Amino acid sequence: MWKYILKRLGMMVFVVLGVAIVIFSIMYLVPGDPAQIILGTSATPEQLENLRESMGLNQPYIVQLGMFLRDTFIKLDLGTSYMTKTSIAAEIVQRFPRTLTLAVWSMLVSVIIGLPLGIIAAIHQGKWQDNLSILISMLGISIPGFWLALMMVLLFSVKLRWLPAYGIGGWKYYVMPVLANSVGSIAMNARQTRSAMLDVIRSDYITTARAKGVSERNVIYRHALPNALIPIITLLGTGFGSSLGGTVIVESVFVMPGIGNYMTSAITNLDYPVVRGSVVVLAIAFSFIMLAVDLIYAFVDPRIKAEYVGR
Amino acid sequence: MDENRAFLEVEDLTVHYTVGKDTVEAVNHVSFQLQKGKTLGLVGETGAGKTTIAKSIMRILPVPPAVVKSGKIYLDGQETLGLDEKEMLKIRGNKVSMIFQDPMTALNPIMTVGSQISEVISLHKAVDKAGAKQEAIRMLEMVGIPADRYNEYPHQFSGGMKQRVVIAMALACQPDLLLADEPTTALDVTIQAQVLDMIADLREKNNTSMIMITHDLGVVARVCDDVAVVYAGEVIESGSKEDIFDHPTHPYTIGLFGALPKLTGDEKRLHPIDGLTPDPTHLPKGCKFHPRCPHATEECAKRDIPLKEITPGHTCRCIKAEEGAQK
Repeated sequence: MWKYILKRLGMMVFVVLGVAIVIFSIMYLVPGDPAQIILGTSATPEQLENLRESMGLNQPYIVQLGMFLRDTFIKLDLGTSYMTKTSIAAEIVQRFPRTLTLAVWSMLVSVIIGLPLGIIAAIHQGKWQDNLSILISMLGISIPGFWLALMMVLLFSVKLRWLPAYGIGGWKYYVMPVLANSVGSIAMNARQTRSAMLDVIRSDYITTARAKGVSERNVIYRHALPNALIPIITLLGTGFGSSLGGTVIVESVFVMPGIGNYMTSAITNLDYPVVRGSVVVLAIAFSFIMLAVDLIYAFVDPRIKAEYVGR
Repeated sequence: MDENRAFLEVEDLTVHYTVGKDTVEAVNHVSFQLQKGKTLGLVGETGAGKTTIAKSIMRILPVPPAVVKSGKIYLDGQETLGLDEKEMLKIRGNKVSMIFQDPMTALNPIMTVGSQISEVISLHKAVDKAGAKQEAIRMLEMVGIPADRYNEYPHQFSGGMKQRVVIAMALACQPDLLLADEPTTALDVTIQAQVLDMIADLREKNNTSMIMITHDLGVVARVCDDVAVVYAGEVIESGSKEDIFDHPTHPYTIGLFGALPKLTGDEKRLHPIDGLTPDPTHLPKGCKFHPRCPHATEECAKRDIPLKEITPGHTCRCIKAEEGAQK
């Protein structure tokens, strides 16, 4: 097991390195001149040239990439923002917990609502409960998170004045962002759980369990659900990824000072180091989540555990 | 309770499956009896409705799409089709249990084999966890699996071993009736004999009755006392094993025996029964076998043919047998 974890950690290094190179290249290729944005339109060509020189933007691609990788992975220094001249690492340390809170709660909510919805639909296949669940899932997949966010602001903040429309503070500030961010994954989870449950319910060992005299309730919760969870867990991993990505939009709508918001403003300002730093941190976080998901896998499915032990 | 009834009586059982607009007539007016301690062989091709009959007795048909249209099943004099689910839970796995066809998929892949056996024991017997475990270990050893494999998972067992686990599970509560649904079909020939012997040994201890569902006449010859031949959801011939093997009467039964290759003599080709089993959504009128029957007459297609007793205990659903009996 430990051998497997070490191997995975080793692979993670390459994944993060790859992500870093890709995001560096994309930012390098994006048209626009950070020096121009920093100095404004009134700057003279000499001023621009000097600034570019001092920022290292005149160096060839490969040299710039090398410097970025060295700073990030060897010196462990994410650098400073072009715009605010503050330490990016410090900024991320402050912002990341908010993004993580948002993403984790989005995932939890999508599981807490999505799974039971799928289970109920599967147990009552073809009946009204199933149809209702399908309807909710369709709505969830069709409604864009940002639109729902705006509508919720109109209803709960402007009209009812129950919840704050933007900013950061206590738990109340998280309610609408979490809902807006999880609506899509609630639907995905419900659909996935339903089909996984249906697959399992039709399998022979469920008939065996019934033939043993196991009550219908225990057939579902002791025999069917644990088996259905196996495919669902994979979905949770990728679901967490998408809710991490979704924070970018939701944080913009609710003006939450998280990493997503940090990144979006950095992208418009061509603040290269901020974008790179944020993406690298997110990539590392995501890799760890995926590792955790795979380990949970082994915990649930003895067949996979046997494979790990063998390695 | 009615003392005059046989240990198991199935009367006029009809089960249909509704698939969209189509109705699959899986089992049609099936009746048979089974005495305590005896073995009845249900013989027929794939799709003839044998498994549906067994699942009806267990009441584990998937409803929907399955619908029991008519029929009564008396187990030990008690009618079970009308029992409520709570009563039925006490019967399943306890008084009646079932061995399934495919051991590879019949076990829950994420539960240890031991816990799957002890589960059925805890459900039906007044024992604590430790007692159930002890009993499960005893069952495992009885089917020839060492106790130290109690905590292993199904994927760590071979097909034959899994079937032994399934058998241990089915017999853990000393059932009165065992429904064996092609228990050896998925196994190697060498393992088949072992498994059949094991079932026979374990049954003997408790005088367990058995319904052996199979399409293998060799298995029937080996384990059964009585035989019912099922075709397109109907019993078309039934009687003692000797009746059926020595005096097959229905053209289909004769065809079944004719399809077996003879070990003596210089056989070049097999002799299959011409045609295919009828589509159960559109069964032929009259005798279900008449489109494939070499002796079919116009009369066969016109009316349903009743089961006729040709000699005591030997019945046959054929117009020829009817004539023979009348003569």
